[in-house]
Amino acid sequence: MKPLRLAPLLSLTCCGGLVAQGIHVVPAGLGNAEGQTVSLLADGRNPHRRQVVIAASELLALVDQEITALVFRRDANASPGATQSGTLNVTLSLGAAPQGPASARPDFVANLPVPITVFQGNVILPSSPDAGSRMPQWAGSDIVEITLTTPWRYAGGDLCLDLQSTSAGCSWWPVDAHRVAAPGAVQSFGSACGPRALAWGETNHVSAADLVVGGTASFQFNGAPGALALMFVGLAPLPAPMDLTFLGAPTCTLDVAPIGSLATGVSPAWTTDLDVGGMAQLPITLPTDLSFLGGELWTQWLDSDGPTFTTSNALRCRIAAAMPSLGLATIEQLGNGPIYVQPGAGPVLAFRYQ
Amino acid sequence: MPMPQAGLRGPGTVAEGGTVRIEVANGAKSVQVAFLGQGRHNRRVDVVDGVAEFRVPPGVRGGSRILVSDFLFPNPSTIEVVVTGGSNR
Repeated sequence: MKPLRLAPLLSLTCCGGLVAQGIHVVPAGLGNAEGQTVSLLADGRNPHRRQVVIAASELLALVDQEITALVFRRDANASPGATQSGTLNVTLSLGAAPQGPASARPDFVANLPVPITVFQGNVILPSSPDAGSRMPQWAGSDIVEITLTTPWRYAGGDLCLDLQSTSAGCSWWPVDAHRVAAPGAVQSFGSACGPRALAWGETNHVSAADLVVGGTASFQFNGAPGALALMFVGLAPLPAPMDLTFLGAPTCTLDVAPIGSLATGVSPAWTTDLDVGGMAQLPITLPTDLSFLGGELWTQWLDSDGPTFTTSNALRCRIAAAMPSLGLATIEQLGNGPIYVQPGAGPVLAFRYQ
Repeated sequence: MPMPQAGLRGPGTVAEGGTVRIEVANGAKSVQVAFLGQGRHNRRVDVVDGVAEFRVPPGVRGGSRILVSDFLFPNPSTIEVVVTGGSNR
C-alpha cells in the first residue's frame, strides 16, 4: 500500500511568500482510518520515553523535505467522552536510525546515536469534545501538535524519533496507534500449586502478542508476596512431570526440562486477599536473529513460600514465525523501569513538511 | 468517570451482573482482575483495541470490590470498581 499523502496545501508564510506544505501519515493507510490500538503520550506519574524507529520505505514522500511539526491524532474508539486539557513537558529529538525497525534494540543510544533536539518545552493537550461516531481529523482539538523549533531536513533512510515527556497530574489523552498482528502462541501445561493456584488457576503468563523476534516479552508469575522467584527456561518438557512431594511440596510438579533459570523478586501483595499474592515479572527481549522465527521455549516458575515452595503451570511459548510487516518499531520506558521493544507497533503519526 | 490512574480508566461502579469496561492506554496486553474475598472469580483479561472488558459473575453481590491492575513495572496502575445492587450484604 502506498503511504497516504494528503494533498499538499499552499499556505502563506509570515513573510508573504508561497510555500507548499504537506502532511504525511505513517503507518501508510491510516491517514483517514483508525489504527488497531491506542497509546498515551505520557504517564501521569512517571517520566515516559518513547522512541519510534520508522523504515525508510514509510517516509519516501519526505525525502529532502523539511519537517516542521509532528502530530498525534486522538484515538477514535478507545476513549469515549471528552478529553481534558493538560500540558506535557516534551523533549523531541530526531536522527538517522543505524538499523531499521526490525532490528530495534532496548537501547536508546543504539537506536539513535546522534540525536538532534528539535523541540524542548511545553505542549498543550487540548480539551476535545466527545468524538461520537465521527473519525477524528488531523486538525483542531483532535490533535496534539509539536511544532519543531527549527525545521529538520529529512535526507532519507531509516528514521528514529525520540520523545521524552512528563506531565503533571492527569494525562489521559489517548492517541491512535497501530500494531500488526503477528503473534506467537502460548499453551499451558500442567497445574500450578499452592495458594496462588487457588486464587488464579494458572500463575504463569506471557502474552502471545509479545513473542516476536526482537520484541520484549514480559514473563509474569503470581507468587508469594516478597518471595524470591525463579523462572526455569527449557527447550522441551520433561518426559513426565516430576512430583515434588519428596521436596516438601505436595501437589507441585516440575514439568519443564530446564537449561537455565532466571531469578527475580515477587512484588508485595496488591490486594488484602493474601492468596492473590504478588507479581514477579521478567521482561526479556528476544534476539533479532531470524533463526529464532518459529522457535519454541518452555517456562515454569518456582517461588519460596514460607518453609516450602510452590510451582506454576508450565508454558510452551512459540515465537512468531514471521516478522511484523509494519515498518515501525516502538521502544518504551516508564520511569526507570525496563525498556520494552515492540516491533510492528507504534503511534499513528503525521509529519507536517514543506 | 473517576480519574484514571496512569494508563487505566474504569467506571468506578458496576451493577451486579454488569459488564466492566476498562480503558487501557499504556500498552499493557492484559490486566489482572481480583474479586476481593471471592478468589474463584479472579482472572486475567486480555486488552483488545485498548479495552479490557469482563462481566461481573453471578454471585458477586452489591458491595463487592474488584481490583484491576496492569502490573506494568515500575509502578503498576490499579483501579477499583465497586459492585452496586440491591443485595448488599
